[in-house]
Amino acid sequence: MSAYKKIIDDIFVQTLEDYGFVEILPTTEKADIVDPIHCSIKIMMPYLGDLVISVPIKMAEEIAVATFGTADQQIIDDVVCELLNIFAGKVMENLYPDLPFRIGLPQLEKNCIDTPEHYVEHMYKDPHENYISVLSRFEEVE
Amino acid sequence: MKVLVIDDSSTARLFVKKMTAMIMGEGSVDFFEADSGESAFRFLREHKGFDLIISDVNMPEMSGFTFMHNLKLDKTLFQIPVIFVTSLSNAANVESLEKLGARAVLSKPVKLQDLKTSFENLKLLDVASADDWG
Repeated sequence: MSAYKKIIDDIFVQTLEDYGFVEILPTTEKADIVDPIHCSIKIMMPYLGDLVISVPIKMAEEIAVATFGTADQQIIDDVVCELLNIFAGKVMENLYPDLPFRIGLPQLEKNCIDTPEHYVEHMYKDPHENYISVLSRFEEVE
Repeated sequence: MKVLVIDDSSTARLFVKKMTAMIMGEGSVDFFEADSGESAFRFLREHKGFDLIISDVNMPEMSGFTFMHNLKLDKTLFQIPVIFVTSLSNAANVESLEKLGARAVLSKPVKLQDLKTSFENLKLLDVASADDWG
């Protein structure tokens, strides 16, 4: 496993535990995400890049209910956006601890990206076999 | 005690309000909300008497950096303490925000103890208690 992939994996696992109280582990299995919510965020400074997460709606719903006591669709969408926002910040903090950085605003996507071959794919699963994916692309790292 | 919570994420605002209420005591804080630096600034010009602002940095229209800069230039608002709760919290960004006048910069997801320590440093727990006693 590359050092880069390990950094992304460690940060995503920790972020989901801290923010959503959900325990996941990285996996090399290939699996479809069931009823996914896709969300993307752009990295704007000091280098260009982007991150895309696909989270099963069931998991996002569970986080929304556990943390905010509601399964309202707007809250569920916001949970996924905020999860990605926090994750992106932690990734940048780790990759560039001493450089000012800027990231864009998380954006919900109807579909996952068309060109996954341009990204590094990271897969995770929880104890109930729910899969989550992260696609990452950084100009400098790759 | 009057607190303005600024974040474009409704769940982030909810999270901060919940934690603040837990620390200060339920009912001891009047919360107001804004979803961008721009709307927060407009709101603050029309509504006075805030004891604290808790703000995100990465927001549409006006970022936390610009918001803080503008707040410090406003003679009627510059004294309101600002705590940032942000995902942009590496050393370089924290230093920039502190140079602009931020009283604390906390990482998302904010931890209860970190928020409490910030309130203690700002002596805000005393304000909330005094308000409780009328």
